[in-house]
Amino acid sequence: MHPNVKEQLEGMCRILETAIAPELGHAHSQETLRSLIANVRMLSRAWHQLLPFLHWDNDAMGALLMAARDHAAPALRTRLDAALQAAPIEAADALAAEARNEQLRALLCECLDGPPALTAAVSAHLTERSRRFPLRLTGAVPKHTA
Amino acid sequence: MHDLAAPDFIARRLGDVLRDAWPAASDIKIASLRRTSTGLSRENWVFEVRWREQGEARSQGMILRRDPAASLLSTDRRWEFRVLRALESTPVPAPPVRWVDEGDALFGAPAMIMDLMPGACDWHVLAGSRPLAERVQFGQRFIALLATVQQVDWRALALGDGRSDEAYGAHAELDFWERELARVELEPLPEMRLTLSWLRRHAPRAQTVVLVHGDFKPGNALLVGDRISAMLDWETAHLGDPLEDLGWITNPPRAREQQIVGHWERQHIVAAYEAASGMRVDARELNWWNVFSCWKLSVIVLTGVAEFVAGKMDRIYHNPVWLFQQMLSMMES
Repeated sequence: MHPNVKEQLEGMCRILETAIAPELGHAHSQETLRSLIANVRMLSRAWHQLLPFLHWDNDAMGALLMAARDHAAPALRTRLDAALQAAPIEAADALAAEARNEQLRALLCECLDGPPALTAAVSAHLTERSRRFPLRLTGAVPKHTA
Repeated sequence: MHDLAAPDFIARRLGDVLRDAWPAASDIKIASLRRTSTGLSRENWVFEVRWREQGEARSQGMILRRDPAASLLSTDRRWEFRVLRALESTPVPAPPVRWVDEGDALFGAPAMIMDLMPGACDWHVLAGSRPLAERVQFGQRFIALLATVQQVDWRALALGDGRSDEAYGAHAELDFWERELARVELEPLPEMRLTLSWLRRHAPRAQTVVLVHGDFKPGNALLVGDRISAMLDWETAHLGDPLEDLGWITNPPRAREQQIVGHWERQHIVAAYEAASGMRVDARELNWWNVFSCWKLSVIVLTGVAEFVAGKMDRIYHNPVWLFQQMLSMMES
């Protein structure tokens, strides 16, 4: 299995840093390469956490949407029921988990005007989701103008 | 077909533009042209212009700011030019502008030429290695400069567009940035929608209408010694609520840039602002502008995500979950 995913990504960083970076003369190119290496390094740390994260998020959103269905208008309730009763996805299928996540998040966007207790529960989940989100570069404040 | 990134092409076009703009100048030469590494919303090319005028040899450092193929901000060059021109007659230190082109005929994209101002940019001057007293003094000077910007008589400078004061402020900003969000939203974002709904419900009314910089931070200032020689990057300037820039400055995720732990924190900044501006700051309204700042910054980062996915940006952006966390938490408080 070697080089495994982590070894390949870390190896890419090493090659970019030792073989490519010293050859770059332009400050803009150097900065671009530095940011790419930081991203690859983040992927090497976090890629394996993504699928468990998606399953956790999908389960939690399923519970929230179940609570929201009682307060939903009939048309939305029908779509919530269809989504909540859909066949389970294959646990190892990352693409299916991602598609499911997007479907449930779209439905959650339609359930934000519920009673205060439900809105608070949604907000608490979104806060926890943001805390757990694995694909993140720390301290990435963009120099949005410079 | 021109190579729009080639220095030769840029230098040739700069010469053409400046010859047209300065009929009194002769023998115009462009020297030391280089693209700087900073600038995610604009491409910055610095250069020196040498020319002869009335028999004398002259020179001036200048900067060409060109819209890149992809940007974190969608802004209007003509408006930025108007603001900078207007500021030339005020005490606000800003770069004099020479020329603007909203189209793409000359440089392949909208572009503007302005004088290069003396000084260096130090993003982390407040948290840097200068003596503490000097850093606190910088913080105070930034706030004094903010008050100076807000005292600009924008009506006398014809920066208004004829609308009543009620048209500016929180709802106008939400309208603008909601349109931006709709333009760049690649996937459902309940965090953004929940926050937008909260912002709409709690939007404050402006005490008065002032010129807002839109990205007021040490990283957009040039420093010479212990003096602020210029405030840069007026592309998001607009008319609005005085607390908007203060909310951006005191926004918790930007504390590393804008604050000094224990010495120049939120309460010091607010007190300094009240003293400099003569206005009273309502804590709840400032909290609203902090949430708005997180939300607006999220839209800007999401623009980067969309531009990267479209293959137009050479930098990878991610969902700004660190901002989501902050704004959701501030809404609860």
